[in-house]
Amino acid sequence: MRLPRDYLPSGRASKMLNSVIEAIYLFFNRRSRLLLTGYVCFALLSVACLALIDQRENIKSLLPDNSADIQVRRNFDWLQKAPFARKLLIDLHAVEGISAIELQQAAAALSGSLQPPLFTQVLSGPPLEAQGQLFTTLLQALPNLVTTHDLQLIEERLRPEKIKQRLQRVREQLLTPQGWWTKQSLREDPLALWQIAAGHLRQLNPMAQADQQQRDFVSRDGRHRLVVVDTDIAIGDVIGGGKLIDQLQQMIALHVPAGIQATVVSGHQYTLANASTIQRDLRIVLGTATLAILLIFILLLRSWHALFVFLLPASVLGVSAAAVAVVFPSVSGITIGFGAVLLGITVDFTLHVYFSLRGSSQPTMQLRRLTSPLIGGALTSFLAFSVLLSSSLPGQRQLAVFSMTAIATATVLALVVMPQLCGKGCAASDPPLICVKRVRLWIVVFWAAMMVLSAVAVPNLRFDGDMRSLGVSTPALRDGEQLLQQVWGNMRSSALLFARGKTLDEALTVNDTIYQQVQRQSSSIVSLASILPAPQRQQHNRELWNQFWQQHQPTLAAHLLSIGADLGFSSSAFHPFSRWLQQPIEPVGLHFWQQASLTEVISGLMMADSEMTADGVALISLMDEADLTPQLQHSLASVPNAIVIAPGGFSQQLSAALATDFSRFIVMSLGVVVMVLIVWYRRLRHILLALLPVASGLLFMFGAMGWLGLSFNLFNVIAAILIIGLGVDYGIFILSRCDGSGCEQAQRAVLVSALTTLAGFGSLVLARHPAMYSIGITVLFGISAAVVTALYIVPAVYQWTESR
Amino acid sequence: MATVKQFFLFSFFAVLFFPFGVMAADDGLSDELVRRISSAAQHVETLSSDFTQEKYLSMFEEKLVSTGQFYYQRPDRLRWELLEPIGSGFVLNGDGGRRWHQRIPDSEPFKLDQDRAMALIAEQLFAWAKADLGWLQQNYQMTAVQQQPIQLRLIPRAADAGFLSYLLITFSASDRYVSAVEIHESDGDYTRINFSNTQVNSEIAERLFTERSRI
Repeated sequence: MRLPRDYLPSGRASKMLNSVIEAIYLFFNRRSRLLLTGYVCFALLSVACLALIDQRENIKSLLPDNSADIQVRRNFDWLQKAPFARKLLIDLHAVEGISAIELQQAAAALSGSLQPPLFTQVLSGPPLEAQGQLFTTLLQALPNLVTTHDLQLIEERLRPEKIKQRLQRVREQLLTPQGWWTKQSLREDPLALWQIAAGHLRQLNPMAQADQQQRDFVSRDGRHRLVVVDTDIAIGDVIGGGKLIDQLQQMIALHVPAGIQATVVSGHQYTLANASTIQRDLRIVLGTATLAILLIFILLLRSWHALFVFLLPASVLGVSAAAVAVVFPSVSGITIGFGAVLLGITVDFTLHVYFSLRGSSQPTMQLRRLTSPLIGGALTSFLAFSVLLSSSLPGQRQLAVFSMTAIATATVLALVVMPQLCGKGCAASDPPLICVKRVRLWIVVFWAAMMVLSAVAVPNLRFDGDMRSLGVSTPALRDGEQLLQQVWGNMRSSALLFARGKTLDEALTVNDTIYQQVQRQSSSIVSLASILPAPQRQQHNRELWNQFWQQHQPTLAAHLLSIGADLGFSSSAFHPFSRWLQQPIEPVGLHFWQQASLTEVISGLMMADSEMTADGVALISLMDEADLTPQLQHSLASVPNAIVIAPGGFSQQLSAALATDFSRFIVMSLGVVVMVLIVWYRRLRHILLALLPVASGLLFMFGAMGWLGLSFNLFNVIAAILIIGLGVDYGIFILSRCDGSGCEQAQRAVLVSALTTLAGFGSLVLARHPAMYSIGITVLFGISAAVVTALYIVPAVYQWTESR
Repeated sequence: MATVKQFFLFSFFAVLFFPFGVMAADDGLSDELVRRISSAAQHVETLSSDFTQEKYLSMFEEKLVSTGQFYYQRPDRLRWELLEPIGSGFVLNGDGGRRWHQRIPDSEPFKLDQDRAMALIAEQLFAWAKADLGWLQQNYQMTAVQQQPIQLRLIPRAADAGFLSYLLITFSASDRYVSAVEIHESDGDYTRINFSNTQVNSEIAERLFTERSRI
């Protein structure tokens, strides 16, 4: 067939390429064994590479690492250090008919049954209540902690009627058995000033909604109890997590009676839910995809030679992974897994070769006609994925290297190996699928209407950087989280405030500044600063304390004497208290609280910070994210060495980074594709027609997602690049068919290519896992629109413009 | 402080249930004395009594007087209740109980494994109730002050017994129960508890060991 020369999308370079490919074909046509042996060696090498590469599961590969977005990564690192990140929380809820003591007994029995090695520590109440000397400790600490508000409270207690009330209670207490061992304490602190310091200690309780007067974690209505369990099992450990949750459920069944509902919330449950959902999804998706591909094979390919259409692209997996390993220090398992899915794009190349050459009596001519569009399509896909090299996400950069290697290698295999495997003279050519001249008007009108509708919804498109939305959350887990938040407060998603210092004192100073700023806004905060202020703050508090008592002690002494006498107290009854007020006050330090058995509490809010210095310390404070107003954030931002991280804010940062990256990818991908097409075609009409499937695929995908309220996330962003790569391929091949330069079977090849892509990617729409589903639905929309445009609209528009 | 509490609690409840325990002869008690006390203790299942508590504390110009009731049932039940001048008390029943005060309308449950103070009470109480001779020998040196009625002095063996100096226990004429206890503290303060209307092996209502309310 004579080709219209001026329509050829190539010049001298194209001819040269055709000649080279033709020469290679002829060379191996006589040496097919040599070629097959070489290919088998290549395939084995690829498998070996895959087996030898050390893949690491690291979610950080999906976080930006460029200087502009480095804060996102840093915040993620800090978020992982949240005190509640690895704990199991068990809420026990007494329904009607269960008494408070039965609930308490159930909590105690369950706590007692959770033993190492799976459960390393179990708390059913703040650990600070566990020992008896606490009140003496608190009294000693009070002068260092006292605030002006505290002094107002103390002043209130100095009123004569309050003193009388208090001394009556002292007298009563001395009559009870408890009075035997509290006598000395009552003499030292008749006004129960230790309670003021206890208020500071209670601020360390992260259960905002708990009844602060209870010794245990008890809700305000008394119908809930909380058991907090520590474990060494990592959140991501599926096997260990499974054993952990199984054991916990067994203990709950054994020790929690009917009438008490146990609700467990932990990160391990999310891991297990994800794992089981992925297993279920893989069964369904792989089953569906296999069935669909089998149907495509039976209906449209119908030859064992077609097996190579799938086999050749699959064999580049290991080599592509090896390329990633060469360029990057470690290979992300996510990259390899996702890259393997992207290999579906390379099936296009072998498909086109197969359809062009199978049963052809003139394979060299068919190969010559195929080479240009195939290389053009491969080049555009290659360059489209190359834009991911500029991504701020290391995982996406790895994916770029992987995809570029896979596309390049698969193209070579398609042009060199596949022609020898298509079978010779064994099948007749199929008739064209669509007659270009008979594309109906209603299809074009319908397509145009869909595009307009899609364009309307594009502004609704959103970017979701919240990693939690990419994981599975079952109704039970959601209900559990909601219950926990309602009953105990927002402890699992509190904002984290880190105070960093080269030394503990430095960190305490930063922590103190944070604490004061939050307190100034009247927001509650869980902070060590409430019991361990910075040294200079303690000094200031002691001065306040001394000034206060210089003013009030004489009056108090007189009141104690006169009111005490009325109640029968002797004049020396409270001499220990008077002596204590006159004693020099020692500052409190970390050791002071550790001796008071508060090590557990402190260690939860304190960590080593080796990034500062070898002795660096970071102190963690928690507050409700809702209280973190922009004004407070602004003022905290000015505190040196303070880091404020709100889970919601982190998602916003990641979403912003994602949106910026996404826009850049789309623009750059389209840019390089247009550049290639300009060089390739040099005619505006051809360029626009080749781009039409891409444009309509993207528009429909954006619009449909906008209408359905779906968001772009870390995973389906890549699908957009896939649509660009495949859409341009479709455009190029169909255009080559329209202008007569390409193969007659181009339409069939494009259709089969789209069907295989939909079978592989589109079947993910059946998945329940949010990340997998998001990829499936995105590709389904994009490829469907792109292939319909390629098969029906491009020929129609081509015909229409040709006739004009 | 914990040791002090332990000794005090031990002493306090030890004296209440002294007749039910078994004495060791090598503590300066004659075999005859040990036999008399052990023999009486073997037949006691329940005990109920009124008591008057007199506290002689340097914190007060005069003694503090209060009255109340206590009940015991083998092996692990107790009610200790002040009735005048304030209403306050607790019940112990196995490994938990409830405590109350007249200012608070309800009673508060407690679990011994979560309440160190009450756990100490229970430990000492049940040690005596179950005749834990080994524990007594380890913690107290016992001497007889007089034979009729039996009066014993218990001195803590531990060097850091804190405020507790010694206990002075006086038995009833029948040796079957304690009629008075004196708890002497190291600072010179002491408390005297006189038991009266004591009934041995009488029937005690179940709710007296489980509820604050007597009715």
